[in-house]
Amino acid sequence: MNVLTAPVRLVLGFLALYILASVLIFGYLYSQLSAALITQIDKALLDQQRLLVMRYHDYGRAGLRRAIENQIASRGRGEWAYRIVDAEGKVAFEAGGLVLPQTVPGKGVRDVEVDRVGPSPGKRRARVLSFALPGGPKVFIGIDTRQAGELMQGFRHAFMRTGILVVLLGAAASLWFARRFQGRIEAFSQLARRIVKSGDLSSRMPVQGNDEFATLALNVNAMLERIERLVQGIRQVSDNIAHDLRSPLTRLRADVEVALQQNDPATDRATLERVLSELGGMQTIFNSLLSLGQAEAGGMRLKRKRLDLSAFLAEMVDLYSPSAEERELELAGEIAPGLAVFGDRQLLAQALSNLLDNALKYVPAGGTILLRAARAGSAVEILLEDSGPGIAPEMREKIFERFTRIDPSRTLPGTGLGLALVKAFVELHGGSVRAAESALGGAAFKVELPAA
Amino acid sequence: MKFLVVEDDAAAADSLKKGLSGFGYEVDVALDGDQGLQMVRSRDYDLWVIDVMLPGVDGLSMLKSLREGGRHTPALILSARGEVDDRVAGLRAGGDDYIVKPYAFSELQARIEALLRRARAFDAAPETVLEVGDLRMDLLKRAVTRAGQEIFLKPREFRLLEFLMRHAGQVVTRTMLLENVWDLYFDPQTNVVDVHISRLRFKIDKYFESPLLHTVRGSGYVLRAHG
Repeated sequence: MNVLTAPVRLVLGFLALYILASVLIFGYLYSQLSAALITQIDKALLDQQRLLVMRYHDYGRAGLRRAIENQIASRGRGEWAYRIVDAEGKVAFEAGGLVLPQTVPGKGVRDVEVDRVGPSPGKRRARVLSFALPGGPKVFIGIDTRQAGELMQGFRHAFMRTGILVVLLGAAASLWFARRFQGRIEAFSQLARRIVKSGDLSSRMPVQGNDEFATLALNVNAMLERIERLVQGIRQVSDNIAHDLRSPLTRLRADVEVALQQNDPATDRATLERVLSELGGMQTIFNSLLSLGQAEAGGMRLKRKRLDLSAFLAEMVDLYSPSAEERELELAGEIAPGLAVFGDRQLLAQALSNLLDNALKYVPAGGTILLRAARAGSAVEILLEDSGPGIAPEMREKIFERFTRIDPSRTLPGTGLGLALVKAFVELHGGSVRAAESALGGAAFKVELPAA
Repeated sequence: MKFLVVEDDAAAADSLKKGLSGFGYEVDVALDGDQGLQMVRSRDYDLWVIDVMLPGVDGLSMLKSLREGGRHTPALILSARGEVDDRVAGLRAGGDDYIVKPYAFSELQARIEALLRRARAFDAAPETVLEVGDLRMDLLKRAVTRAGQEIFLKPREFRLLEFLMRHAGQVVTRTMLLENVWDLYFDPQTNVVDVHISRLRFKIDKYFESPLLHTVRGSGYVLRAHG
């Protein structure tokens, strides 16, 4: 297994980013702090300069020396260096625990390497200020910067120690989280593998807490639920196909076998006619299943054009009204003018034709069928109502599924696919269809299509 | 009448040959597109019946190349695919009609007769008056009379009768009527065509001695002056 799993890579990335950010912050603080320290040291040097200049002004050279000696007496000589050079360039006076080199290059305040004498001798870095006094003498004042240096070093070490500690703790915590995440992700992988291997779609992810993993688990479970339902649906359909195609096949076979055995030309013709009619029925089921499969799998190529729906619906009423009249039914249209949709005329005609076929089949003689259409907002609403027996509320969704028959004995002719096709074709057009109760007492099918 | 059937399913080709021979047509069979092309070049046929899916040169390519070569023999396309798209592709390739498998033999026969008749009428001047017996349709005035008596038809009935008159003497199937009169390429479960036909029959035959519009059992209808 790859050690650098996604969570570990993520953690390492964040760690690197964290280290970079810390170093940047430390660098900034460090430079600010050392600048502040140097400013402070330089301020002490300038204070000394002001004091010495004042004493020299008031008491001359003797006052200057006394002032230096007083300074050393009050603060100890260790950290300081004083030197007075007369106008000729000779060292006239020297004091303090630090010894400046013979000649001190540069001017103003600068860093100089000095020798320390006394208790802890050695080379030291010092800040040195030099200035000239009226009358010629030049004064050098130096301060040991070791304390500042130590402070900065302490700061560096503290940063390193805490930094390393934090990085280690961070890495450990991150790895722990990564492991945990990995574990939870692995649970999904395991579930997927289990389903792939066994084909058992009833497995579900346990849902813990309410974080993103819980949401993911809920979504995965919902997806599995849907797939499971679809697969069950397919099983159901293949059972139905088995029933709806196997029964006529069985009848066909029996018919033909009996005819062959009897070898009676007188009955052969009747047998052949029955065979032909069975074949016709099977062909209808076969074509419907094919269209349905194509429509539902999105394989159907729609020939969508702007369709004058008002004229189209009037044509459908015109096509069916003689058949309705023959069955002593009244088929009427109440179609608003100027309706248009963007659709495939053949598919919409087939959808509507299936609905009309049903109405003609189920509404008893003397009944009414009413096709209404009107604009409803951004949609066109087509309502086909009848005075027939209607559809029980618990069946109103189920009838759009394949091979559902309202008539459980399946005595009326029909494939059980008509309404499934209506739904599929209407949905291909971005519309919807549902069944309801009609004010006429029977069924009402409401088709909504986006208006063109 | 000599027909060429191009069909790779030998059993289907054979039953087609038997069926068509029974109606007095002479039928040659080619089992693939290349053989079909060869046979067309060596012999003149009155009709080609071409399956779309063939090994080698497919039916549509075969037809296209024949049309590009200037052959105008009527062609009926057989196909297992029945979507409007497929029909359009078939007709674009040069087919004169399109029939989806599995088809009823009576359907095939009716369509073949319609094609042959259309081919014969190809050179004639466009008719403005159709006549079958004493039934007369004036296409310009959109008026129909029988034995001089005016018959009032709704627009759709007029189109239905026009189609029947243009195919007088031939069997016209319900599917042909749905396609040509209503522009619908599927068969509704309800017997819509039959009822329209019986209304038309009521108008043109009811009050006259000899009926013109006859039902052909198992196939469709025929408009005929005698018998």
